[in-house]
Amino acid sequence: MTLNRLGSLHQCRLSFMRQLTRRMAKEQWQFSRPHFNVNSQGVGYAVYTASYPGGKASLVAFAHELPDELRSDRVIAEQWDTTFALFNGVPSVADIERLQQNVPLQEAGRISESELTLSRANRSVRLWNHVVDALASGQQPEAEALHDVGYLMRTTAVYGSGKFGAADREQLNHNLEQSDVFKAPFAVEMLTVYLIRTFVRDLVNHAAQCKGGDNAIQLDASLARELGIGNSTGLGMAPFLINHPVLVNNWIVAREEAISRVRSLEHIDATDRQCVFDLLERMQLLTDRWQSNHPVQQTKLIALKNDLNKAQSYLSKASMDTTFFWNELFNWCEENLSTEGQECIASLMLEPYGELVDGLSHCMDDPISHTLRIDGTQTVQAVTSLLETSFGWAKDVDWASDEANARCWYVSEEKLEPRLGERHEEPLEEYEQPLAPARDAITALTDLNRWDDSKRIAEFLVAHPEHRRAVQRAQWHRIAPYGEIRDNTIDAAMLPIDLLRAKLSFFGATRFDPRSDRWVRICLYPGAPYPEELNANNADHWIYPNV
Amino acid sequence: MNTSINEVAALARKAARGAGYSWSMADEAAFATAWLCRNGLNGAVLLAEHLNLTHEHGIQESKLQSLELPWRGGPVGLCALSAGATLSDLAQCEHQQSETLNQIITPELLLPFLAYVSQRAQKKLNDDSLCIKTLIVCERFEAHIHCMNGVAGLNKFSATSATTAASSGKRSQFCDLNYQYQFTSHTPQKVREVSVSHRINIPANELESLNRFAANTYAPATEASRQGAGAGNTDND
Repeated sequence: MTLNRLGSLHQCRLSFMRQLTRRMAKEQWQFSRPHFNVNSQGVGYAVYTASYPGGKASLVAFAHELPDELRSDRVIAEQWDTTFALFNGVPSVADIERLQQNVPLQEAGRISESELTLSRANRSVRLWNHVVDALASGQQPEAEALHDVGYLMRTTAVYGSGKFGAADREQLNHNLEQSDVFKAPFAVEMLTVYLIRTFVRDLVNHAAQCKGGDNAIQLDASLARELGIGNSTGLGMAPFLINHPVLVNNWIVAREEAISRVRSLEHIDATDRQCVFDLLERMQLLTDRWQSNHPVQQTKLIALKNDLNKAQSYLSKASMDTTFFWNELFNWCEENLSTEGQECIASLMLEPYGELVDGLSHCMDDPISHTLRIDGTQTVQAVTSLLETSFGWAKDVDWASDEANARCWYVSEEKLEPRLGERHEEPLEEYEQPLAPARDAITALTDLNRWDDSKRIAEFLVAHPEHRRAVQRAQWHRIAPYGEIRDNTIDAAMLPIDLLRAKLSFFGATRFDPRSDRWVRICLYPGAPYPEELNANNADHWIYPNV
Repeated sequence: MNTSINEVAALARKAARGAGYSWSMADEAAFATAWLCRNGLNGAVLLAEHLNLTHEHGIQESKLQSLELPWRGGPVGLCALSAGATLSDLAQCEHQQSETLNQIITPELLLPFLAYVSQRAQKKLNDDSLCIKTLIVCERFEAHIHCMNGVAGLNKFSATSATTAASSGKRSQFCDLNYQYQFTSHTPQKVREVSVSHRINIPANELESLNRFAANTYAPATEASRQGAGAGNTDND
């Protein structure tokens, strides 16, 4: 897929947040709040426990007092309004005390194999005070203000997979052999954010109660439901798509297979069409609420709104007698809509067909790439052919040009976070991270062309061990044909936000709001039922706001 | 420091790169370190020792020169990561029952690659009732890798007296290593599950050593890089 296409993806039935809420409802997960010890200054801790078939996991949430001047959106911050860990099981008092010593420090602390994630969130300055003040004085906050921002708090990182001492994903699956509850990609991260959202709602009600006393009221349930959790995502997430080609392939394949299955339906009934029609209208409302100051996204948004209107018109006029109705729609979209519009309609098309597509969610993890190693018995010719299949397009790039080599991915000494620099303006090359697979493939091809085609690739790799990555990626292509981004990830015109958008869309994020070419704000779980409301009837289409 | 396996693998990758390996070979260092840790050996300690040695002499000085037998590295020995990666590349080839590799630096780092070779060999045999045992002997240790049902694990590891001399600095920096394969049939009841570790303690010295190498991969911060990372300091909403 190209970066433009990846940067236009939309959430769908297979998105990880929606997988989780459907599962929680279907399995009737139980939720409790065994502790809520937050004082009138808003400082303290709370524990939220989710009980699923076969186990429990608990969000341990800490609320802090943070002076306004220290509240920063950026990953280099050192203090936050709230900090969190997801605990595997139910934490003891000793566990909570241990976490209290470490979780507020985030990267500077250590968590243990009992923890699954580590994260933090800051208040929305715009909305938090407005909501607290309104509730404290006995009034509900303005719905429009809630819609404009979309969240009361915004996370700046949700770390999992063994980071800062947390349990490895492999350990989790090993320990939970009786349950595949956390097998889906980012399942623990999605559960963390779902529980954070509940805590934030409770915390704002608590703050209003402390401020207003008897005058205070609780945030109206329907207003609360429209609030999600904001997320600011920067370059730290961008390398993920490049570093996990097999996993990303599985995500794309699942989505493409789902679309293909729906396009293959010869006959559809009126309720299916009505379902898409209704959700399209709700998507229009979501798009109206979607604001961005970034010129690229503004242009895409205008096109998307226009596309949704066109699609609405198409759907209302299209004859139900048309065979392969969705396929016709899909083809029409390709000819008439922007990339954003095409991806959005493709997602909507899947909505009536849970039974047909939801099973694909079981194919979206990657249980095998860690077991795959280079097959050195392949010939130079065979590997050359595989590289050309994956990266043949990159032969047309002028790799000697400054533009094609303009960028350099590196990790900063200051925060140990991935960053993107200008290769020709800063002395960064010796620190370059291996995040330009297309360039590296072309370099490998150049060296391979000097070798006898019949030689084993193992022999080539003894002479050129630096090409092992390129060879491995070429061989992965046999099992992961969608794993490689068909664009230059170090080009002068490359937009990292496209990489971020792709990953976040699979999370189920909406309202993408790029703050620069390498930094995007999103909203997670807006519209989702809270734990006490969750049931089979509201577990799925909550992502589309009610008209 | 008590770390997860993912954490130690990430550190190993950065440290190997920082010591002078290519990112490709750094991946092999991460693979080997993680496998050793999962199998109860302290891969972080072994990698730190290896990087200190190979970095001192220059990474290129110990890499495998060619596939021609016997395999050779350089005057300081043959890098276990370089030899191991190539062993693994050739896992699908026919193997001799017994092989000797000469002058291997930090031979423990070969074990993960030998384990992979036995996994491929078993897959090729297409007979789950066969257990492949790899017996590895060198001056520093004796180890058994058992591969059953497609999974290879470290079944036995005993350090020899040479290893205990390490603290006094007498341990040689490389040694010859012999490995041989044995095929035995097993019944499912006799399969001993190889335990898997999910955590590793990295002693302070080795942690410092790995962090020092890893730091070579970090670019010093500049004002331009800070500005480039995000939207600015006042991005609250």
